[in-house]
Amino acid sequence: MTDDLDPSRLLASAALDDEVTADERAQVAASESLTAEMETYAALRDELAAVDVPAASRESAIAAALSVFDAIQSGAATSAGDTSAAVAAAAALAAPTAPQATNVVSMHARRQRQYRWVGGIAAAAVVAVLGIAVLNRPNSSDNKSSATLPALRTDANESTEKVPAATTNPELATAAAPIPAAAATTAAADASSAEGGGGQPSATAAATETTEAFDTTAETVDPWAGAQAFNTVTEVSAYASSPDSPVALPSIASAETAADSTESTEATETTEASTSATSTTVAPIPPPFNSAPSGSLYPCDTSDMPIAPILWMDQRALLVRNDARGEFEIVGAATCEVLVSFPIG
Amino acid sequence: MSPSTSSGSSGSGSDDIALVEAARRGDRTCLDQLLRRHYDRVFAVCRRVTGHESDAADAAQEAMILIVRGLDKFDGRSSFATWVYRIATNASLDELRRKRRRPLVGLGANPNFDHDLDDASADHADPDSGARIDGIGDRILLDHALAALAEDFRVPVVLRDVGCLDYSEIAEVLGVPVGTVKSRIARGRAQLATSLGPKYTHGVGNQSPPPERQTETP
Repeated sequence: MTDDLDPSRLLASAALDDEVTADERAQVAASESLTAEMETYAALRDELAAVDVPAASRESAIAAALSVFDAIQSGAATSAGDTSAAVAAAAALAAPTAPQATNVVSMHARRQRQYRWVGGIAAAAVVAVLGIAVLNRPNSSDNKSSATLPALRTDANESTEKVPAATTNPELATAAAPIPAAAATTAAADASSAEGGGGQPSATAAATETTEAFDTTAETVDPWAGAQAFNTVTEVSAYASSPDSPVALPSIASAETAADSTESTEATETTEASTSATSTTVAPIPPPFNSAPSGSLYPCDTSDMPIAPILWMDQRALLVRNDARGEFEIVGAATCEVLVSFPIG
Repeated sequence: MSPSTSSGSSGSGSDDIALVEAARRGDRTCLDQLLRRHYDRVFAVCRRVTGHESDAADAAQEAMILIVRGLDKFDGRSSFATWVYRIATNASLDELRRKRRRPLVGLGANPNFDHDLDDASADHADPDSGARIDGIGDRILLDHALAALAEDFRVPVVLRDVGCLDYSEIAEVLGVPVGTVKSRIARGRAQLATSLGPKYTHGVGNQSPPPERQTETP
């Protein structure tokens, strides 16, 4: 390409950078205007180079890099392109020996945090819905599974309480900490196994592997199958606040911890005292989980915590809890609109 | 806040190589030293390319991590500093693209800003503004002037004036001929000086801004 840049400017700029021949330098020195222009560029350079560097950013960045280094040295580094995972893993690994690493937050992970959270909630809701659908299936041939319902409800809170303990242990930080619903299912299975086999899995018991949905080749379960129907806010309010509520999450914060922990788990295994092995996959839940219409607040509002699919005025809907706003909401499944909201408690 | 990059200058190339070798052998202290040696200037490059402090912090951290992860891949054909600033530049540009925005808030709403930097934009600047404000005001003005500069011009100017790379190193980082680097830097500086007003135009004020679009020295 040709250059119609004023040659004198090119010369003055290059002279400042000492990228000129001796003749060109002499030419610049002999010209007052070129010398003045060069001095102007020099002043500009000085101003450009004057950047305040926040000490906190420096320490954080170096700590993050050193954490990755530690992870690499310990052979715990993940794949080459997965920087955020490496930082997170490194931070967990480095925590006992390098206190500064405890402050390390992967920038990428930070950006993705809210999206992971939504995904975690969706996963938790899927597992919860699976539990409801299986337990409420009217023609279920496995009465023993239904019999585990009380145990599930009883142990759910206990299992939930185990999550923080697991996540505070650095060695377990990257391990699968069960989400509340999954933990409840596992607890129920444990109880069921204990009933049938004196604490040991019975000979006829088979493992039912509950995958995280979206495999359409397997048997599908309608999330709204067996969903409770409501026509008044009073009924829903009572349901949402009662122990019958399928996901009685104590707070958004603990749910987020659980959801984050779930990410490293490919599948949640649950064992049930069942006479036959089954592979059950929950069908992808229709909107609002998967395709919120443009402009819809849901599920973009990350403070929404889905509780259960319900039938509201004979319409498929989701009951969600929003601790930030202190209210329950009934969200239309087809429209993603908040149909009704009412205060928690 | 610590002082500027001048206090955090890079060490010599031989020192860098020695530290790199030690870090490759697993010496954490040497790696720490190596990263500290370059961080401030990396941050400064990121700051000037992204135009935003928090974006620069993100990009600089990403660059530090990529340096560590790529340490074994550094083959020594270029200087370590060149290699580092290439990473920092790419991290900054990635950060900008990830945010899908120009550095800071652009001066105008011209959708073709990147490739259609119009000299007229400089004419719209208040000719006395540079003289009236100083300190923080000057920095804001500089940020805006940089933001108005097309990426093709901004990056080489930053690599030269902030990263202190020579033309051949910048050419290597950007993958363009040295002549292109030379002309882009000259244009970038001229446009910056014009945008910043009289404070920076006493040396160039007697010349009308050149029609610099889409023409380069090969």
